[in-house]
Amino acid sequence: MTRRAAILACLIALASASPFAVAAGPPGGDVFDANTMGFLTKVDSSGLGLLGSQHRGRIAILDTVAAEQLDQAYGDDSIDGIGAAAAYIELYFRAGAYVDKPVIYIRERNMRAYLASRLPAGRVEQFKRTHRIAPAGLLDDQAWMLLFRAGRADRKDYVRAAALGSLRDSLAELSERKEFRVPIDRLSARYSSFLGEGVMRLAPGAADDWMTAEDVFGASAATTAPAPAETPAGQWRALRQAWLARDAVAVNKAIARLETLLPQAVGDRASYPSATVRSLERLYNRTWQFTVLRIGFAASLLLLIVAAAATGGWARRLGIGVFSLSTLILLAGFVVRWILSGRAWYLPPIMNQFEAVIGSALLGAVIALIMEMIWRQNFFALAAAFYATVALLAGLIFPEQMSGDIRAQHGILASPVMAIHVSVIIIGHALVGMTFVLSVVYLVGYPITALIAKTDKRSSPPDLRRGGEMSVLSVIDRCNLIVAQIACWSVVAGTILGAYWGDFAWGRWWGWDPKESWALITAMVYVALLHIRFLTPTRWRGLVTALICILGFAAMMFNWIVVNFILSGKHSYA
Amino acid sequence: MNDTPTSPASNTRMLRKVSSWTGMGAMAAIAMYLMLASASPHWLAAALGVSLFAPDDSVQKELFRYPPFLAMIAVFFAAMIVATVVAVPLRLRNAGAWCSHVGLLALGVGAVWYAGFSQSGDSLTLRSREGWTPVKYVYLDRSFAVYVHDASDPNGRPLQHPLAGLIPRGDPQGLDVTIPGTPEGVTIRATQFLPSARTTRRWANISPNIIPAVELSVTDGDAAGTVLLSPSLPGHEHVGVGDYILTYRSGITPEGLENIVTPTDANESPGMGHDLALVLTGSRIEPTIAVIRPDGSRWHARLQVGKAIDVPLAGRKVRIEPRAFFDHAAEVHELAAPHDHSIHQAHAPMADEMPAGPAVKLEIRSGDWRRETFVPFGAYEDFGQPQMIDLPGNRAVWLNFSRERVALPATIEVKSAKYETYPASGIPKDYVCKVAVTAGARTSDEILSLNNPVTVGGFQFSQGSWVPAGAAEPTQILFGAASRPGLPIIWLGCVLICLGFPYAFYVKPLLMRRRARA
Repeated sequence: MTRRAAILACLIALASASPFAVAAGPPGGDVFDANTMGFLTKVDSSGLGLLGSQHRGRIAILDTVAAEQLDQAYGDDSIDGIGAAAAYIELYFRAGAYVDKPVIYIRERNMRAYLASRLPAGRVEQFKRTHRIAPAGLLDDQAWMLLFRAGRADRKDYVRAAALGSLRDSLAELSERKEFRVPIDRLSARYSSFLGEGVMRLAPGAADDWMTAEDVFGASAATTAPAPAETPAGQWRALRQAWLARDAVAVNKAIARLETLLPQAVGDRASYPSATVRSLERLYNRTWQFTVLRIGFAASLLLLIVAAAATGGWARRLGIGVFSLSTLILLAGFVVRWILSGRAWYLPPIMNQFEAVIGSALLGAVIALIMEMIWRQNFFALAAAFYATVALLAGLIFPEQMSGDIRAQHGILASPVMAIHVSVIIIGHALVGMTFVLSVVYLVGYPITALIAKTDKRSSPPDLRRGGEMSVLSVIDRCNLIVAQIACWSVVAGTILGAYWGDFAWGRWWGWDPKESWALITAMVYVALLHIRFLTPTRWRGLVTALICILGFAAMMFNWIVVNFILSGKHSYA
Repeated sequence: MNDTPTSPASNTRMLRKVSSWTGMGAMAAIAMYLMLASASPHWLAAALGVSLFAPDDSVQKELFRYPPFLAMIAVFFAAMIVATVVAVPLRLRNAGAWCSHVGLLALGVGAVWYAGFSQSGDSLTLRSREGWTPVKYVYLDRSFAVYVHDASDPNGRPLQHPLAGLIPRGDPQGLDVTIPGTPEGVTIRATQFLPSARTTRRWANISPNIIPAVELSVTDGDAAGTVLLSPSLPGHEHVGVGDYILTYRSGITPEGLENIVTPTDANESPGMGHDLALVLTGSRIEPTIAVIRPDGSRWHARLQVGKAIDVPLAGRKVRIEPRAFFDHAAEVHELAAPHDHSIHQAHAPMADEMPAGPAVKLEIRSGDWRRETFVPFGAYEDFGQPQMIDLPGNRAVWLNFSRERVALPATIEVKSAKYETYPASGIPKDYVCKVAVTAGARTSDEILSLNNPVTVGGFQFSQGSWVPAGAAEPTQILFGAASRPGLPIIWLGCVLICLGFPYAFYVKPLLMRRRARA
């Protein structure tokens, strides 16, 4: 292990030693019994998790694959304190042993109430505590039908289910019954990505696609002759044998061999990520949950509100400090994701809905910091902090549309012009979001100021850097205008760049696609704003600006949410 | 009009106000229109009566060619020009506003040029055993043409005659275009354009072979329909309605008539427990309907074309009316105008017809001889089925109705096509075509892939769609093709717009401050 990797390992250890981490104390947990726990704690789960596995168009680490699967099925990426890779491999290898263990997380509250009413008395307590049910508990026909119908009707995954082989067995058993065949088949198709089959690609084979776990372990038709021991497939089989025999020493030996064999087997066809990059990926998986950042941006927002209200020096310093630190952490995560994504260097991680929202929060925060350095007001950082907090919460509101999994992007997006187009557009989105915050602040402040009868009657907003006596409203209006000007430029320039890209990617520079139409509407709102300010009596300018900025924000949000998810168009890659 | 004398200054002020607010109003109107057109295009099209006809689903494109919408844009530009001239003095400090406004104007001019002169469409290539068919033409999106091919000329080629302006009109009536007929002395006129024709089916005595058949109208309780029965046409031998069987026998003699009514014939006995109803004809007998019941009892009656009789079948009365008897029955498929000429209302096809897409009605004259025919639309002339019309004097002409096409100065031939995905993901990575572009004796090899178009003869070709989708080796490839005139002006305008903003935001205040200090 390189020195850098060692440092990273220390960081990982620190990260996982947070006070919220589940203590790996009791000898047996809800799922794993004492024997299994004993075995799993002896397995080199760290080395296992760091093994490469082909996933979503890149070579990820097994930890990533397992965590995604467990998160879908179990609702968490560790079981009984055992890390994702070891826990998932245990469930995969010994599926039959977990038919009556609570491994399926039921997400929907009504569904939980229904299932609780049907469970045997001895299991209700545990189900109510963990919200997890055993596949055997789901063998109830009516429960399945209900889950299936509700899931289909609402297009939600009410049941975070079926990653597990045990559930696959239950499905197979149920689908043998004639009356369930069609719905169960459909259900299987819907959840096929969780079903385990073809999910883990463990060993490089002759083709570009690696061999799936089923190929390696002989469960699928593609398996031919037994693999020689000194190949990744052979070592994986040895690992499975040792695993089933509960021989931790042999398992760890196989893991060590795989660590050597996998890079050799990959050869020149694709680059097998270095130990450092793989450790970085695990660190990213463990820390990239946004909780800290949400708290960071929200805290800086509160501090900056205090600073704006009281014009306090300490609140501003602290607020800007927390804001800068949060931005820095967000930037670090962004850069790590850029490295991990395995895309061309000119494609930053802004290629899908999740990445665009996070990237927008980051770029908005960076621009706000630059503005703070120039104009030294609290309002830029305040607006950006609010925007970032909301953007980072969006993942909780739209968990399905904003999946954070790293995956390859559609080939047509792999163009440097596309990357610049999206970057400029999402900067525009961030700034539009900031003008919305500033406008709301203005509109809230306006009647208060009017009540105090100190309505600003200045002919034009003051120059922020000149100092002098200014009403708070004038300052907010000035800040709003500064942000709105750049927002206008970004939306216009971003749309133009999109036209330039559309010309050579699609063969037309403008096609009245819904996304294009709404980008034009947003741009027009801001262009109109800049002109209407000249046409409005000075005392109303701030108010008019605030109102129009809110309109612009509404157009932008419509474009981002309604157009992306509801109206179809050529821009539906993300 | 205000009759009181006004000073030039107040006139200017007025003009500035009016033009500025007109511009703002036009922008608001454009924005509202865009909102409706993108969120609910079908509703808007129906509300405005915009014709939606096009071979592909391009509702929105038609909405953005709607003249009042274009007028809104024109008003905006006019207001912008007036407001700029009146309200923004041509000074260095206003260079940003001028730059942006001139840029926007250039963008508008470029866009008009582009919209007016760009040709966009697509080209199709099919894979056969010999390789991919060479691409020689670009078929344009919104223009139609009738293709006439003189079949008697061995060296003749289909000649295209564009039918201009079909889409904006979308009117099934009132077309009168004379198409220069290639065969001498023949005139071809397009008399009607049908955005959505229908195919009708009927039976006629036109088969060269002897095929006896009867067409019956049958009403059984609530169910009513027309059936064709023929012992010689597979699928038409009999109609089984659950508890009775209806069939047809021709060439029956009076003696045979007696025999067949006796339930001894193994093939025709009602052995399956059903009533058997037989329509019987012969040269020496009157058309008759005979019913044989499982218990051996029978019933028969005369049949007359156009006269309905109640036949006691399966314990109830079934009304049967012969419509026609045929000796040389054959089904004729014909194009016809839709029942409802309004193209906005979906026409539910009747049982004997099906929607057939667009068609054009052509009238062919040669001397006193005259014939009218509907020619169905095919998106690609070279892959379509032309309609052959026999002309007097042992001549014939092939007619085709397709899109207008532009011949390329070079042919594009796909040498290999590969659909690439990212490993283990199924996410499309690239659609790569190795193409050979041949102009005369010169051939150049090029790669046509995503984000990497190839330009031939002024047309930029880009990847369109592959059929079947997701197949490693497709059987059909559609390339998008467009000529792009005016694009440099558009980009120039865009650059000016992008430069104007920062000048107005940041340079102008600097200049103003310096002036205030001085």
